[in-house]
Amino acid sequence: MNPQNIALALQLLITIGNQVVNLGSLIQTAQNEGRDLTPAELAQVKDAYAAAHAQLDADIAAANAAAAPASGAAPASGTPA
Amino acid sequence: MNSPTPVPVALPAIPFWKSPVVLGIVVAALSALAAKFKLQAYITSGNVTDIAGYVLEALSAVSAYVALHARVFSSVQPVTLTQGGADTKNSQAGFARVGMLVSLVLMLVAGCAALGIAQPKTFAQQYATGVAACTTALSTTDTLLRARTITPADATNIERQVDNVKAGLDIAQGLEAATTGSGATKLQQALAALTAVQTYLASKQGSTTP
Repeated sequence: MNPQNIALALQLLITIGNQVVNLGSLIQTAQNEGRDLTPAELAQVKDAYAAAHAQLDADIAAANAAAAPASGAAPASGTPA
Repeated sequence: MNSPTPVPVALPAIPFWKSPVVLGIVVAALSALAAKFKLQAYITSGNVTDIAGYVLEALSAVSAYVALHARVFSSVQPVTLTQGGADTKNSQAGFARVGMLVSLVLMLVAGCAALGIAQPKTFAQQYATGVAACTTALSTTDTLLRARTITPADATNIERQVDNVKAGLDIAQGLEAATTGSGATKLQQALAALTAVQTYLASKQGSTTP
């Protein structure tokens, strides 16, 4: 693996790991307390979805901009080559 | 992803299924995974309190991953996906990079299960799990896009499919709110659609964009 691939692997590991652990923690806490998930906890899960959605939208836009002809297309910023 | 830099080798390449080391590690990993799922039932029921044993299992899984990584990326004798690849290539085929990444994620999930992360029971918990799976699909898509494994058009299509699944989950939640029990079928349908998206993502993980 080159450094870029290692970075991507770590990024995916951290991102998905956080999602799994956060959701598991929410469910475990609720089950331990003998209750269901609260609206606030559900909102937390939905917020994570919205954040991932916004990030993907931004990266799709950046990738499209980078793939556009050089004439008039501004280079994408913040997207790894 | 960038093309891998060919590395000098001392032995001709072989397909991965002819490598005793790779097969041994995979069989051991699958056996460990099956054991973890079996133990999960005891963990969630609260009958198992000795977490140390599961931490040791997780460490064993990490060791197996390190051994697999070392074998797959060995410069002494590369492993390839097919016999044809072994016959025509004498350097790393590069196929294994994404595979290793996926196996790392699977090990993470298995490790979390071994450490006792709870399984969803109620509708709200299943709904939250579905939304989290959608989030994971988007994150995976984003990572594949940034690695240039999929095109922006692919990513857009996947995003639309995930949005459809999320919409299905929200409909199921609305049905459940109206009448308890009525949203379960819709929830399962949405999750089935999510499985199709995940299959599509898996099919894209072995390819690269031109």
